[in-house]
Amino acid sequence: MNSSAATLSSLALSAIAGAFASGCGSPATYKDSRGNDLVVSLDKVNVQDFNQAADKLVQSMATSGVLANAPRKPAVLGISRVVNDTSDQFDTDQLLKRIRVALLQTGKVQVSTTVGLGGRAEDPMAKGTKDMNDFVSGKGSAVPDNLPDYTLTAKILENRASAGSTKQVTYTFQMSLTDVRSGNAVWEGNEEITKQGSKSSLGF
Amino acid sequence: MKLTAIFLPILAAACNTMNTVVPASTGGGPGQPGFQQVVTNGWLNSKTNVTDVREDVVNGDQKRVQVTVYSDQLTTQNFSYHFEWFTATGMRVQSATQAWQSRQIKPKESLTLQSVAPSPDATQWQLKLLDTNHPLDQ
Repeated sequence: MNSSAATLSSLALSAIAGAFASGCGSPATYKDSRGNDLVVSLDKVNVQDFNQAADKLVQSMATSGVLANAPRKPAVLGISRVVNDTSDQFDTDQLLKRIRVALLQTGKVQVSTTVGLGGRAEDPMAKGTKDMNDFVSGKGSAVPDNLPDYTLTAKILENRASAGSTKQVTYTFQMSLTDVRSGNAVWEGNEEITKQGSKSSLGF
Repeated sequence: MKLTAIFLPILAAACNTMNTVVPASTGGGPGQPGFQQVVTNGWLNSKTNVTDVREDVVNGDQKRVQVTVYSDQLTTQNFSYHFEWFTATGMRVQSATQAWQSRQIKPKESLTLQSVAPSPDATQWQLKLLDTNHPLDQ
């Protein structure tokens, strides 16, 4: 009797504790990834940081007018070296893809997926098909018509500082657009995103 | 005094709604289209009051807009903003990069907010302003 009463008591306590614990947490909800109520972290690059940096860099490139003076329209852009020099391990396409999509949307640029850094095509099947088409049409030995007019390089850097319990991190997004005819950079962008606080938070 | 300190943020939070700025049909001159502010949040408007709007074209055929806002507050304030772009027929043009941005504005400071249309067919714009880092949001 005592044993069953003790079991019942412990079950009741477990149920109450479980209900209490579940009541304390907030349930997962969907958020607008372009909104202003996302988690702000001091130890990693957040999705809104990529959005802000990409937006500023694309606008800077558009404002420079460099793509309006391209040798052909739309100009062909090759993606060159992109370096993540931060302590946060992330795929650099989180930045690059946003920029590529935005540039393509302007109608002034097309990104080559068959010419890549070190001779590696981003889309091997497209490269194989194009090579076959060129061979069949007799253009096999001619200069390829999909060589980039411009190449894009990028680097993401991190700078940390702290004072007492306040931590600060700055992520720097650097980007260069090189005209392959001259070999010189015709546009360069540098955007910094600084976050400060003692712990990660919600919203900005 | 204490009651004011408690209730003012509550009242302000209750009215934490969005302000919107759109170009007006009557212009103020070349490159200055005139503007219309839809103010639903007086507190937010006191730190992001629009004083000037300018437009030009960059990159050959992409519209650029610049909106100047002024803060009448005596302390540094935070807000966030977002430009939305539309075609001439009013259809929204989505951009891969455009998202809410946060800004800090110092007392009695004017600062400019800029946006470039994501594509040449995006000719209409709308600026949305929102209060951030409200005391009750902390």
